[in-house]
Amino acid sequence: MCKTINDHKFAFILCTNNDIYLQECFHYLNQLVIPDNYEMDILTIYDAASMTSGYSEGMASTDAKYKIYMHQDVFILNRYFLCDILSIFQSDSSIGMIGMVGYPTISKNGIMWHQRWIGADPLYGSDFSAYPHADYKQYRYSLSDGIADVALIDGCIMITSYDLSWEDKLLKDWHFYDAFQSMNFLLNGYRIVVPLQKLPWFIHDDGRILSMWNYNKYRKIFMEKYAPYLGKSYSDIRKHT
Amino acid sequence: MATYESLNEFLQEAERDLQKLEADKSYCLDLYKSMQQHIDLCLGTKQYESLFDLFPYFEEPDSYPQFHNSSETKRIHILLNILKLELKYEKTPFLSTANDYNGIMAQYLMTIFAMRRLELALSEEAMAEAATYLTSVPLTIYAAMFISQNEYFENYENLFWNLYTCMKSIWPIGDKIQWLTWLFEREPVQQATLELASLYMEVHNYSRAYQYLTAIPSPSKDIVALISSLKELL
Repeated sequence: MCKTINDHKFAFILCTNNDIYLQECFHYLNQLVIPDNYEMDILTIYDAASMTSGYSEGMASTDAKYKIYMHQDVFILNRYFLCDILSIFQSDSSIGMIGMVGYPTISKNGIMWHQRWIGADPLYGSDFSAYPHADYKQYRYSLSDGIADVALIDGCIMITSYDLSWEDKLLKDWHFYDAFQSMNFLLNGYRIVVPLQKLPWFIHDDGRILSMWNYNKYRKIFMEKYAPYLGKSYSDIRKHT
Repeated sequence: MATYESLNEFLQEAERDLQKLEADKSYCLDLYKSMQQHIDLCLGTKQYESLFDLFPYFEEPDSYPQFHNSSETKRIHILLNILKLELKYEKTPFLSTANDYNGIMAQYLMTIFAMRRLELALSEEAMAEAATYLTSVPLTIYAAMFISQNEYFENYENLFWNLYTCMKSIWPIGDKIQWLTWLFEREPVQQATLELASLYMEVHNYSRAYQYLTAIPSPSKDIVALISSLKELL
């Protein structure tokens, strides 16, 4: 059945297994300014079998046009986050997905962060060392600060304005869902962009390191499926679509 | 830090590391489980020194490199280092209110979050909630310092000063001096330096008070007057 999309609605979609993280995440979400005439919903999926299955469930259960897929350990610091992503989507209808950290080129070995990054941070958080006196009360993003096109975005926050299926058949864990979904958007002709942030819009409180146990398995699957695109930039890939 | 002759060499090493991680997964997860059981036992019986049996898992990196790739195991290592200093300086341990592994990990996370609220100072309400939490756990200066150094914090001026304001009715004067000295070494903020001098005066260490006051750039008339009085006294 085709559902009617509410284009004045945002939905945060979070997979969670830890109430302490989740409550802190809510603390920051509850401080966000909601644009006039828009509404905001928060969907939590408990103990999902995988990130893709949780996100698929979340996607199917909301009518919101703008979906923010986010980790439970991500805390949004930019209070105008919703206004800012709306202005970016409204600036060009071909923008299908926004990330906070992105990579213009796909790494030959499939490891995202072996490429130059754009956005808030190098490895998975906010590189606060560049902003020792960050004042979020005063910070406002403007479209004139810029956006950058990328090929892949990091999964800590992925914001979409169109619904494309998550790769839940191949991916049964917590890795590479971001790279697969980025490829999905790119190969369907959408732009993926990252706002240039004078202050990082979020903190990714992952304890500064990742749980990588099954990463290698999914890296190989990614490299096999997207072999022709390894080492290519977003503009190279766009030429193929 | 390793150096590489070429990008290929770096990529090959990354590939080898990932393969090792995959191969060692079940061994490491079993070990992690047994560490949790050990922590449950030590916290349940309040035998804190027995927790130090876990140090070799972290401090022999050749034996257990995978433990450096998990935030939970990294946090166990941080807690051990905190405890070591707390026992050395005879403080009530930060982990002493927890009865098991899950309890201490929950307390650790809540402490990070509360400290971050103080650092960001986004609203009075958020700061008040944070202060209520932090004063309800035995947060020593050693715990606060290790957490601030190993988790995501950067606005040290805000974090250290706001945490000091929150904890000053609880921390003994020696700890308050140590905390503000750390802040002074990192960022000599006028407000904190003045407070540090005032604490030294409280313990009648006027030469130290004088030393800190004279380090304040462009001091106000009141501070200049205080410096003069101290100079006479000395």
